[in-house]
Amino acid sequence: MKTKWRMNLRLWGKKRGGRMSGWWFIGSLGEALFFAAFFLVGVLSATTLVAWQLMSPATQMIRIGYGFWLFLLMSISFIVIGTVGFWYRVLTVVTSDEHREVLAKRGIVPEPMIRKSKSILPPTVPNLQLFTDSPGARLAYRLPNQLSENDVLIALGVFAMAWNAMIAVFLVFALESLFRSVIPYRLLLVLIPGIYIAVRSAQQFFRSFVRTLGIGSTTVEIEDLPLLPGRTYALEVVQYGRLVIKKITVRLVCEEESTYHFGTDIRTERQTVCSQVIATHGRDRIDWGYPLRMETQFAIPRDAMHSFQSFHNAIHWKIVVDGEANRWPSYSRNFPVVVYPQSNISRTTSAS
Amino acid sequence: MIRLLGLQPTYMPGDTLEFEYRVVNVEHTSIVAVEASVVWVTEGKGTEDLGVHFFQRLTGASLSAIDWSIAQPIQCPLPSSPLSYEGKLLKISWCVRVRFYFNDGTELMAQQPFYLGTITRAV
Amino acid sequence: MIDVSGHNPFSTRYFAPGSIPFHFPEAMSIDLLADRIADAKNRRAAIVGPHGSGKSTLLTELFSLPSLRSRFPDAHHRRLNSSSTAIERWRSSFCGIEAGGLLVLDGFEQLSNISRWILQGMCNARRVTLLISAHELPAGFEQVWGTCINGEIEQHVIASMLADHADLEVQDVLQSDAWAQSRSTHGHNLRESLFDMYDWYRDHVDVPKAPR
Repeated sequence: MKTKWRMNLRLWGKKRGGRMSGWWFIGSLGEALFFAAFFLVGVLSATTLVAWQLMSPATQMIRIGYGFWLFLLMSISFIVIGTVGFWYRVLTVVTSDEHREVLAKRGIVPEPMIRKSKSILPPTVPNLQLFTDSPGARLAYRLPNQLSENDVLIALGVFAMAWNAMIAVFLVFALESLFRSVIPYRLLLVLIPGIYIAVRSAQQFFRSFVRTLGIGSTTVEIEDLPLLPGRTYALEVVQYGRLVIKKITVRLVCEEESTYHFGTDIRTERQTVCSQVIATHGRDRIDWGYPLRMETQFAIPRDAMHSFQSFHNAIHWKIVVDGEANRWPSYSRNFPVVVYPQSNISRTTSAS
Repeated sequence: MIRLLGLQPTYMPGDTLEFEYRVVNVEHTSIVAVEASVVWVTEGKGTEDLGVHFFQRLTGASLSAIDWSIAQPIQCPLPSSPLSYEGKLLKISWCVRVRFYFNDGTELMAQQPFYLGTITRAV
Repeated sequence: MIDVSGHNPFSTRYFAPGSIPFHFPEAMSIDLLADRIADAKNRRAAIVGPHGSGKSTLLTELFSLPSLRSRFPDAHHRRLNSSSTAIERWRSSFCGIEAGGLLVLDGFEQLSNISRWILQGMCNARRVTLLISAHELPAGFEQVWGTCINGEIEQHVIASMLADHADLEVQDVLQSDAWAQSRSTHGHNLRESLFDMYDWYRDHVDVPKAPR
């Protein structure tokens, strides 16, 4: 049923067996553009109808009656279809099918090796809850992305949509005034920079969308959290998108962060104190529906410092995925993890 | 002068820290308050952070009941973190501190560091 | 006496405002500066200087100066920085200041022009003396002191920081290549050079010590 719904919505993307055709990229972008235009046409037509009735009832361009309500209903349908279609297309790109499936089946994923108890949470170590609330598809946990590009894309999309809708409404009012041979100077003063921002925000959104379509998202799953010094853990990195990668490197990184907050200055400095390559993958082709999967194992050094967080100082551990791809800019994605102090190993193990 | 006695250089998380303190060459009746604490502090390129793991303040009746001719014992179990650390930008160190407050408004402080855990350097 | 062995002498604890006494040239003293502030035209006094040249250190020292506090029993010291929210800026600038008091405001430039204008109006109405720090002299203020960095001040700062560190001489620092390079890079900003010297000490002077 779900597939059927998707096929109904897909206008230009064609599917050959399990693999998407080469038009998928243009198709996804085209669909997003199409639904965005649908939305704008709906906003423009609905505003025109209402504004004309309110401000120039004498012209009686469309009299209130069967035709008016039908036209208004059609305009609202355009807005709804445009909004739903646009966001469905965008969200399909930014979240993987697997992840949506796993979230739905929460509970059947393998349980982590050790059950944690809140009572043994070590002081000054970041709260584990933020890292363990997302189950993985193959391993216990799916790590959160430190700065999710998807969140930025969605925020850009919401802003562009709202701003363009607002400007469309103002535009209709301005046109209506011009139609009555009145030059709306104040409105035009607002509209000129407003239209510029509308165009730029839409441009920014589609630029990010194109990048997301190409490079796709990266997911990292880990077999257990928190991590303990001296132990080895399984890790799976999945790179989605449609691109030819030159190299992907997965690193385990420990970074110190200190903020100086005195006088009128705020100064933050970060320094990497440990960086070990845990997996690399050479030239390969990634297609939609055929992501690159890298399964590996890594060990936290036996004498490693645990994660630490105080007001001005911190020690962070993270998995860093660096990618180089043909025709796309290089990218680096950070997935924070938590390392508990060594002393918790014996206690946690004995508690389990 | 404050003397801190019996403190080991290194403790492991979960160990019980035991030490004694005494004050010499001081008029005992001039003491108005005594504070003993076990704290961790950060030091380095950032603003310093301080965490108080154990704190005891003696004033009034509890203070006058103290026999200063003998050392005052303190006991507290140590937490699992933060472990002592010497990194590139920051250090985390533990210490015990004892402060004496006198009736002329002056105070006397002594502190002694110790290591919690075996980690000392960034890996 | 606190044992400082193993401590980096360029840690922020050794140069945070209040840690090092402000150094004046021979003909000047902090008490004379306090007189200038008390006599400032229209009760508007400014300490002007570039980033990291000791403005916050001087304001901290002035605020705790008995001769200034005796003239202004109701004195307030507020700091504004780029992360202060608008509400914090307003509250810290305008709230709780008695008539005839002293407001020491570190980071006057963080206020918007309108806020500065309102603040000055309120201070006028309550006859509050306003002592600020700024990178450039704002209109309506009298510059009571200008902070700048020279060789004499560098020597004073380093000597104060190394006072309890027997393993390092002042000249070891001042004659090091790292110091020369950092000073040429950061100009008047002495604080940035002290941060650089933290790395230099860690990498070149500090010897790893086992805990047991």
